[in-house]
Amino acid sequence: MNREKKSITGLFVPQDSEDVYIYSLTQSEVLTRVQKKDTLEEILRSNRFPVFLLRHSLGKRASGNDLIPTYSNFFDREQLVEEYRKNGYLADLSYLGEVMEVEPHQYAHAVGPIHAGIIEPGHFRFRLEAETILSLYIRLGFQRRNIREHIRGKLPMQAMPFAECISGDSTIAYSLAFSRLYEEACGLTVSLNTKLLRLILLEIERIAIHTGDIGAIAGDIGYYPLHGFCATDRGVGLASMEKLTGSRFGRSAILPGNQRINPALTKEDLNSISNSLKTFLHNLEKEFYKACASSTIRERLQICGELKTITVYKKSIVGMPLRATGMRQDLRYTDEHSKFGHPIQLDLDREHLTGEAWSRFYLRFLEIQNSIHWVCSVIDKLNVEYTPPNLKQKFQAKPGVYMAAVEGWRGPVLVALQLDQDARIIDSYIRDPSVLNWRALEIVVENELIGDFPLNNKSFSLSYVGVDL
Amino acid sequence: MSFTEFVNLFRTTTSFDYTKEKPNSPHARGIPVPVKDTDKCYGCTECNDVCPTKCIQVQKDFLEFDYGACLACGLCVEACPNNILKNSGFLYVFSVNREELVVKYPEEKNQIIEIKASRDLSFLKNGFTYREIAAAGNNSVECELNASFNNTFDCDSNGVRAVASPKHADALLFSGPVGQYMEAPLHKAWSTMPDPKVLIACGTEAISGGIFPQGKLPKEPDLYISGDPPKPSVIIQAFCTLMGRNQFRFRESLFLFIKEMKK
Repeated sequence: MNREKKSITGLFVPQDSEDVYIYSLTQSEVLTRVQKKDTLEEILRSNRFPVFLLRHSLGKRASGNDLIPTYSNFFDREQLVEEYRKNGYLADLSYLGEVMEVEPHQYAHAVGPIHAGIIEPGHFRFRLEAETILSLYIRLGFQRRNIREHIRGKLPMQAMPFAECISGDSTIAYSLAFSRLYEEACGLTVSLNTKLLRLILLEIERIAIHTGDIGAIAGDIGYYPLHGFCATDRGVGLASMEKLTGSRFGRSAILPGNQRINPALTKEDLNSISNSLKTFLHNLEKEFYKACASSTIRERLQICGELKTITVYKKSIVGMPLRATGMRQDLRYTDEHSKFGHPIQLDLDREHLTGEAWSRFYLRFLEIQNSIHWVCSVIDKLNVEYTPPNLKQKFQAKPGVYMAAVEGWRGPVLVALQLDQDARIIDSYIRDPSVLNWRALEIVVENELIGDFPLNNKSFSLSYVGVDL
Repeated sequence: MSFTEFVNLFRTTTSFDYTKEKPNSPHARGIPVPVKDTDKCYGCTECNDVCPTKCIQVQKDFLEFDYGACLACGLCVEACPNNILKNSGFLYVFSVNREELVVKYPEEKNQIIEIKASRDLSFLKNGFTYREIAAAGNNSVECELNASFNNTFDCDSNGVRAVASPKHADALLFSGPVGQYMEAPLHKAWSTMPDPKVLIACGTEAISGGIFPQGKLPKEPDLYISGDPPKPSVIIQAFCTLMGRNQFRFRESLFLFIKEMKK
C-alpha cells in the first residue's frame, strides 16, 4: 500500500466538538483528516468505512438489542444512518437471542461467553450445514470496563495505569502510544537512551507473545514437541522483560517523558539477556524447521483460514493478518531503529506469505527472528544507569486532539485523545487492531470446517478485551 | 518404551520444586515495604498520591498497606521523599484470609488474626480441578495461567488441572474486576458447580478491583492471590497452601523477609 492506496483505520467523534477525525493507514504511517460533523451520514454510507469500525466508534452499550432478529440489519448502511439519526449512537447487540432461525438442513451452534479453556469470554454463533460453517457472528463486549469513561478528566500520570491494562498482552504497545501522544502534545523530548529502551521493550513483547502463539497453533494441530518448547521458552522473553523493567509484562515501565528501567539492572544482565535470546532463537529455529519438514503439518495449516488480499483492502484489515497476505505495512518503518547502528529487518519472505493460517504461523517465526537479531545487536548500547523519574512533572498542552500509533505485536494500536491545557483527557478514542480484524476471522471461517475454528481463531489471536472499550 | 523414555527415568527433573522455592525474585519489583523505621515518616501522603489504587494509608503512628490492591508498580517507592520504602521483590502475596493482606507497619500494630480457611477444605488435599473465568480482566492473568502448565512450572504434577466445564470443577478461579457484563455469567457458572466447591480470586483486580470498581461476587473467595499478574510459580504455591501442603503464612513470611532485608 502506498500513499494513494491508504485504508481507513480509525474514526474519532469527540463529544463536544464540531469535527470528526478520520485516520487512515499507509504503508508506514497513520494520517489524519478532519471533517465537519455534519458529514457523518456520508461516512456511514461510505463503503470505505468498515461497519465494525463505525459500530466501535459510534457504538454505545444500550439495553441489548436482541442478536438474532437484528443481525440481518447489522451490515445495512441505510439502517445505520437511520439508527444514528434517531438515537445519536449505534446500539450494540447483545447475545440474548436463544433461538436462531435456520433452514431445515442447517443447524445453529452457540459458543460462549465462557469458553472451554483459559481464554477470555466472547459469544460465537455459528450457522452450519453438516461440519461446514456457513456463517459466524461474533459478539464481544463481555469484558467491557468502560475505560473511556474512567480516563475522562484524568491527568497523564493517572491515565497511564488504565492505558497499560487496555490489553494485558500489549502493555508496552499501549503505554508507548499514550506516552508518545503526551510527549507530542506537551512538547516533551526524551533522551535517545529512553527511545532505545522503549523500542527494545516493544520487540521483547513481540518475541514473547509470538512464541506463545506459535506454541498454541502447534498445540491446536496436535504437534506437541513445538507446543511444549514454545510454552516453556516463552518465559525467555518474559524473563528478559522482568530483568529490564521489574515486571514480566512491562507494567509501568514507560511513562510520558520518562523511563523506568529496573534499578537492579547491570551490564552483565544485558549480556545474559542477549545470550539467552540467541540460545532461544537457535533452539526455536531447530524446532520450527523440524516441524516444517513434515509435509502434513504444512498442509494442515495451508488448507485453512485463507484471507484474500481483496478482503484486506475492502475491510481495512491491519497488522499481522495483513502482512501475512504478503503486503507490506508496518509502522516500524518510521521508527528510529536505525539510529542505534543497526536497522531492523522488516521486509519479509513474501513468497511464503499467502494469507492462510500457515502464513500467520510462519510470519510470527520471521518476526521473532528479525526482532531477536535487532535486539541482540543494539542491547549493549543501552545505558543501565538508573535515574528516578520526575513524578511531579507538570504537563502543559495546547488544547486539541492528538493521535499516536504504535506497531504492537497484533498490529497498529491507535490512540487519539482530546486534551485540555493541563493535558487532562476530555474525550478519547482507542482502537485495538482487533476491532478491524475480528471481521477477518468471520470471513475466513466461512465454508471451512467447524473443527478448524480453534486453529483459525488462534492464528489470528485477537484481543477480546481491547475491543469494546 | 522408547530409548528417550528410558533415559528420562534417570534424569533429574527440571521443573520447580515448590517445597524449596523462595518467596522473592531478584529481578522482580515485588511489593513495596518500609525498610527504615516508620517513625521517620512524617505523614506527607506523597506515596498515596501517586498510587494508582490508593492502597496506602498514612496514619499518625503507623503506615497501612493493602497488598490486595497493590499493583506493584513501585511509584510510591520513587515518590517517598525520605526513601523509607523499597521494592522488596517479595512475590508470595496470597492468603486464605483477606484481612491478612492488609498490613500495618511497624508490625506490632497488627492485630493478630486467626488465619485459617473459613471451612473444612480437606476435600482438596489430593489436588483439584478448576474452571477459569476471565471476568473483565486484562488477559495477562490468563497468559500466566497458561504458562503455569508448561514444563517449568508444571501445575499438573501438583495435582491441579484446568477443566472445560464448571460442572467438572472443584474450584472456580476468576480474574479481573468482574465488570457489569461478566457478573451474570460468573454467577451462572458458580451456581452450576456441584458442592463442595471453592472460589479463588486470582490477580489484584480480582481481589479488590484494582483501578476499576469491583462487581458483585457469588461469595467471599476462599483464596486470594495478589499480583498484577501473579507469577505462575506464585499461583501454584498458593494452590499448594490451599491444599494444605505447606504452612505458608503471608505476614510471618513477609516480616521475616523484611528483617533479613534490613540487615
